[in-house]
Amino acid sequence: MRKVRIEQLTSGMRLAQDVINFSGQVLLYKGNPLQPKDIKNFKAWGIIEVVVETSSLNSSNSLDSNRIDAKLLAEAQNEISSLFQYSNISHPVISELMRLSTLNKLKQKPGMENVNVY
Amino acid sequence: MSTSPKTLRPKDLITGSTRTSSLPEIFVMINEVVNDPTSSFSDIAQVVNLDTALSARLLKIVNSSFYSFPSNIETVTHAIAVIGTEQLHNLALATTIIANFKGIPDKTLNMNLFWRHSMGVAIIARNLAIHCRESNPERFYLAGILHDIGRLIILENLPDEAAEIMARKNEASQVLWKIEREVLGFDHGEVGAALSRSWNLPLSLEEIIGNHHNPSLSKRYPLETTIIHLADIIAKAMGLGSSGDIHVPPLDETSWEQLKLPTGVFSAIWNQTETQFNETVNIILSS
Repeated sequence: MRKVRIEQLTSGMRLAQDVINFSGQVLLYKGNPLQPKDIKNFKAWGIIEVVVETSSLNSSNSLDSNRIDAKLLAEAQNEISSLFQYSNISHPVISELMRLSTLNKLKQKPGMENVNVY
Repeated sequence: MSTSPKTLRPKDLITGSTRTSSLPEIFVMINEVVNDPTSSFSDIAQVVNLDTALSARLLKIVNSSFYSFPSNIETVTHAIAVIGTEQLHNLALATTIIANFKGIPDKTLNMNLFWRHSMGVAIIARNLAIHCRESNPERFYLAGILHDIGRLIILENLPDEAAEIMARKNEASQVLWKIEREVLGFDHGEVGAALSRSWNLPLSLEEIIGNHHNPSLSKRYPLETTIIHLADIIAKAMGLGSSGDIHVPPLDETSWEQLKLPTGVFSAIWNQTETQFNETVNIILSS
């Protein structure tokens, strides 16, 4: 089982847990393979992440840092490191913000405007 | 000022300055009409319309991506009907305050960057509040606009000390509010809280502003304070403006857990905020 962010979902992934909205209504039961309309429905309900079967994940959905130039990535990480010097970087909130902040820096680099990694 | 800074209290800074000793007049008038149970929407709109710059800005905000209403809202009366009296009240105060603090010399602190930071925190806090399903998200917008206001009051009333604080910050690796405590004996949060009290703003605002660096000290409004605390952290991570210190302040981990938010919301909030920020900054900071 793995938690997958809504932006990373692709059709064919199989749910490992029911997806419920904030009022407790089931949007899709576990075991169902995702269809494009389901993903659209989750977005409309403001679902942030769902739990899917690890076996249904294909390799193209793993964090795709190898598609990004390693040098540019290192540059971006370096630029944000001083910003977070007073933070506990092992805390999940901070590591998520550092990830987003790195991506943001990366987007400002020439040729990287359309990078879209979640 | 004749007293030495060490014996100063945050309150003294408020009463010593004409800018802060009383609420802007238009706001007093809006307060009165909003608190009068016999007022109708059009009575409130009439008062808001007395300040044409204010009403024009409010209409632009109500028509922005903040609300994404399907049709154009052309009058203040209509705006009150769709967003609510209390919400419009908060937006009006937020807008008035920025105008009220115009003209502070920006040698020590770039005022445009300062307000960009405050607006960033305001918009993020509003979005966080919506995700936490809090009622009236506009009160978080107002709290965001006001959270660092104490810094401006320190700057205007104690320019020498303010310069010393900035100089020390450049030498020592220490967050700004801790240096303020060393130099003044109090920090900008406490000054902002004193302002909120002297303006008779809701108690929640006073607690949020006063404790935004230490949300666990908030006894009555811990959730609200944590939202501003977190919004401040996110705004710094996004690099929106600057309040004099670009560093991401330390997170209060215990308070964060009380919010019960998944970290997955940050990317959604990041995207929402980027769009709303660019739009709102143009509306509010263009004069």
